Amino acid sequence: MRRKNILIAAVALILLSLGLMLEQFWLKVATEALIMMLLAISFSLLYGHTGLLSFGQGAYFGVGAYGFALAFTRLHLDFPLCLLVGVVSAGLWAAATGYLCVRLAGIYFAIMTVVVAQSTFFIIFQWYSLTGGDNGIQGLVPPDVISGTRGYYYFALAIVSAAFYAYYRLINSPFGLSLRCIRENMIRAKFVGIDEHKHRLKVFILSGLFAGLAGVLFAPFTRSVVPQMADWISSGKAVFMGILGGASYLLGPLVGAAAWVFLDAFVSGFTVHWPLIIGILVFVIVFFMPGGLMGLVHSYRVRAKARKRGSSGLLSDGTET
Amino acid sequence: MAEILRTEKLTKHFGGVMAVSGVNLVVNRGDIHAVIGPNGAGKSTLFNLITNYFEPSAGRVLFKGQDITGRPAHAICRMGLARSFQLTNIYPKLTVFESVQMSLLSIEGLAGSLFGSTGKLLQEDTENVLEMVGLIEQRDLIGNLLSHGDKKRLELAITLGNRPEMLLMDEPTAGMAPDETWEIVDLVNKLRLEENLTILFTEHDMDVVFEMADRVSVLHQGLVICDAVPEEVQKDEMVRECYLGSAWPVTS
Repeated sequence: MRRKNILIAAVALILLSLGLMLEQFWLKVATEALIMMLLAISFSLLYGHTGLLSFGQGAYFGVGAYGFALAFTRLHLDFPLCLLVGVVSAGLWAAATGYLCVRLAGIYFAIMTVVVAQSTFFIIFQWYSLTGGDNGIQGLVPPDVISGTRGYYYFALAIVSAAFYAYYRLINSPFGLSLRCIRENMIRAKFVGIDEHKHRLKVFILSGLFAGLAGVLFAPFTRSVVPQMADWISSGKAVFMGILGGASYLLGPLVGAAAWVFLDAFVSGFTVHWPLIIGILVFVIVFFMPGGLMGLVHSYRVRAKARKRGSSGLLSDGTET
Repeated sequence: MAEILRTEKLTKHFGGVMAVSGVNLVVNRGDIHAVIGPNGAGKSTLFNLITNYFEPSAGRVLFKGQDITGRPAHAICRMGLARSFQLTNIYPKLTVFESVQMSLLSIEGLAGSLFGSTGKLLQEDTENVLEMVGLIEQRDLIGNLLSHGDKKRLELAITLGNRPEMLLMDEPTAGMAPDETWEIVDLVNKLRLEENLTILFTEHDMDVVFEMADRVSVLHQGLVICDAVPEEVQKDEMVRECYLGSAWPVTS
């Protein structure tokens, strides 16, 4: 327990000092990594914790961003209120579309999320009078205090930390356990009195809120929104980051998003063949480390513990919370 | 004795196959009631109809006087009717403790709660259930790592966590070693006494059936061909012909 607190303090110190130490380019990369953690969390909640494979989290990322942008440029609301409008619109869209998706199971659920996401993309893309179509919306400048690279890094750090805490509480709550029961054995879960439809819809909305919050933070970060934020590449990114880190582990989405964004920035510095690298990376993960990076850490720890006890007796596997 | 469960003309056909045809079954409160019959007689289907795992083609199910036909599984469970499955149904990657804790949380109406941490919630109640079925030592193991017999116990603990009034067990001792089997029999007998549970179960081991049951219903090709106390069932000519075989000793 005490070791855990020291670890948390150390990570906090590193994250806080990064804001002072990093140069502009890497500070921006770090900010993007923070924001993308929320998108990875959104995927992990559904896939890692509930067993629902969503290929459509990009839709809620996009809706969050556009919700913010429209509130900002059309309604001229205060900045914090615009953030709220963005998150709420993503949540509402997740509720409406989730209602359709959670009725389906397995591959049909996955296909439905793709259908919903592509529809969302095309609505944004074609509704020219509202969204500006492929021009997107520009001029999303945050208030002075956080408009600098450093200011925005700290702003994102604060919001993402709070959201991460919410995610931590969520997966440790009774609801979080219910989700894992649904993932492990839906029939058994039903027959101990868990209303699986209701639970799946609830987690779908919650994960939409996380994706929406990511979109809301991303819009003022790049000062603009474009329809591509809601496209299938955006959704795919959520999947890759989640899988890379290990979607069923508490820290999986954080590690996955950070690894992804930094790798992206690093590799695209010297080659244009970044997608090729991604392809190979995904291949390696799927074949050799299905638990992702945190899965590796976890199995190492289980083995170390067993060695300490002088036996091969596995104590606990599954979700590291 | 008051009845707790009643089926009226319960029927299920899969295409042209009549799996269960017009079964009228009454289970009295506090009884241990066995449903026996050859393979394919419709025992599991009957259980699946009662708990609405399958929708009946016709007929009704009444539990505590209420019509529960077609109600969602989770709602039936919340009314106090829990079940286990023929093929052991547990959560492979959850710990024994978590698996049972879930049932308790669910019945307390906390399954959807976003507040509080599961670490300590209902710890005592969960441990009591584990103590009862003899799994307290294994509380931190994940379900997958248990032996077959312990998996069966875990599933029993999962159903008991729901604090049911009535328990449906589909072959509770299937695949168990003989001594494990008798441990389960003792456990079930104890549960009936201490928790005042009503139990409806299917079983292929006739020694177990005639040791445990207060009442036996015999199913053959989807029909109830006999419904009586064990002694009479053993003597019944038709049952002997259809199922027990003429070699079964008349006296027990």
